[in-house]
Amino acid sequence: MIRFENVGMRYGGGPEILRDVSFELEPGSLTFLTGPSGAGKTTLLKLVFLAERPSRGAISMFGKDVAALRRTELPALRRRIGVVFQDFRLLDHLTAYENVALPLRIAGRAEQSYREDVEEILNWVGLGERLHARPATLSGGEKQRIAIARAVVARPPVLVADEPTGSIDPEMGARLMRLFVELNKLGTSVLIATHDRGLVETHGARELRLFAGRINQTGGTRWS
Amino acid sequence: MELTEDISPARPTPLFPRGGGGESALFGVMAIMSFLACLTLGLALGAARLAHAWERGLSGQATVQIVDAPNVAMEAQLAGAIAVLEATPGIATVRPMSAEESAALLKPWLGDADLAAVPVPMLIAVTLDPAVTLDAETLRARLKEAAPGATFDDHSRWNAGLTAASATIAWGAYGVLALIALAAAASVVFAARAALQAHRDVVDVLHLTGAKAGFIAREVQARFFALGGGAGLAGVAGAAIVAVAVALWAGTEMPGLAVDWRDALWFAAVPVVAALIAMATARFTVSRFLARAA
Repeated sequence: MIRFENVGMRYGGGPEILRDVSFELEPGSLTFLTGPSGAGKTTLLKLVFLAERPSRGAISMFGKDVAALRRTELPALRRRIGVVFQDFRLLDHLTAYENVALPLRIAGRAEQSYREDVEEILNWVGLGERLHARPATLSGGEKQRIAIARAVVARPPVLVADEPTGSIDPEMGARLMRLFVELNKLGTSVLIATHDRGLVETHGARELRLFAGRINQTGGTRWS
Repeated sequence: MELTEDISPARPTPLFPRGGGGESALFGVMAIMSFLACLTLGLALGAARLAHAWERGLSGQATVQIVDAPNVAMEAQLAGAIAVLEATPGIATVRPMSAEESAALLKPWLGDADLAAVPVPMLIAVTLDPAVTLDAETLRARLKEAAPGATFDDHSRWNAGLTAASATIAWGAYGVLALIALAAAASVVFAARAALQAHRDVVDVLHLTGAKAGFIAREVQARFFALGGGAGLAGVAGAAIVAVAVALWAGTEMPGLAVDWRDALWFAAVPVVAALIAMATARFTVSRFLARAA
């Protein structure tokens, strides 16, 4: 589904942040990406959700070579990957409902066609009562759940989350993890970057361990 | 009552928040540009109408002048010329002017001199039928045959001068309008770029959520369309106040320059054009910006 082969990444003329990174995400898999701060987790995720292109190596997504993609082909591919950003990246002037509906609006769907979907997903993350709230009035955990709802509302086959439990209390963190696991059971491939070892041990899923730009793999269903 | 009823406003919230990118400054600039465009338009239309009025005054009339010709009597020339004129399509009336009328026309030049000794040319006043185009060259040739001393003057020399002058004014005005449009477009370029920079975070989220460049451009251009249209209306409103003032002050003194309410359509086009310029320029700018950013 998503395959990295000897991927290297540097910004401009700076040092190489990722070196010879190779792994594969299988359909329906749950994978943790771990490593200390500065190990390159966020950079690797940026490559996965097509915010950056690698300096070297090959990335293939849904059977397409990323290096050979034209700029106009990127949006269609990005729509197949839901992203939960570390800093949420909600649009502050939109309501919770409008933020969650954003991917559907971008896909060109009419409002009446997705209204129920959006409500359902907001209920699923426990924010069915806060449709009209704007991000400024929401707590960190609520924002995170809005961000998750936005990432999955268009039912993408892949979900990527950057430190989703980083800025919230453990109870809320566990609750969010249950959402991810549930999604995974429904068939979504989930990749979660975290520095929380406890999270990984609790779920016993496959782990990609980044250290100084290189990857070690443990557990999971498949070695690449 | 269903929960879904008022989840979202009737029209979706614009994805780019208001403010940022100097929108109020752009509004002011576009309003001033629209105001200037209206003034230029008013001047051009006024000049065209004035030229047209002068032209119409001259072009309805012509004169045939008959001077002595060897071997042909003056009266014979006059009768021949009148016969030719009356047979020519496009000529409405033919009226030979009396000797007294001709003398009166010469008086400013010759004073009270005795005209009996001077060979005074005979004049025929002709009015033209505006519905028929007169073939002046054929008429001149036929007049020459019937009356060798006759010349036909349809004032076309004066008409040509006036037409050239009004055309020059019109082209000058079009040039000024084009410059105004260009300056307006340039300011939209700056404002659109500034807006994108100010809302870079929104652009990023839209991109990463799979928005195509066209989708983002549509969001931005809709905003600038409204802004350009609003500014255009403000400019036209300002120009309308000036027009009313001019009409009140000069309406009786300079009828040609007074505002003609039939021109309202032209002025109504100004906000539309302003909105279209803003929209098209914003779309172009956003597309360029995104092509470089991606």
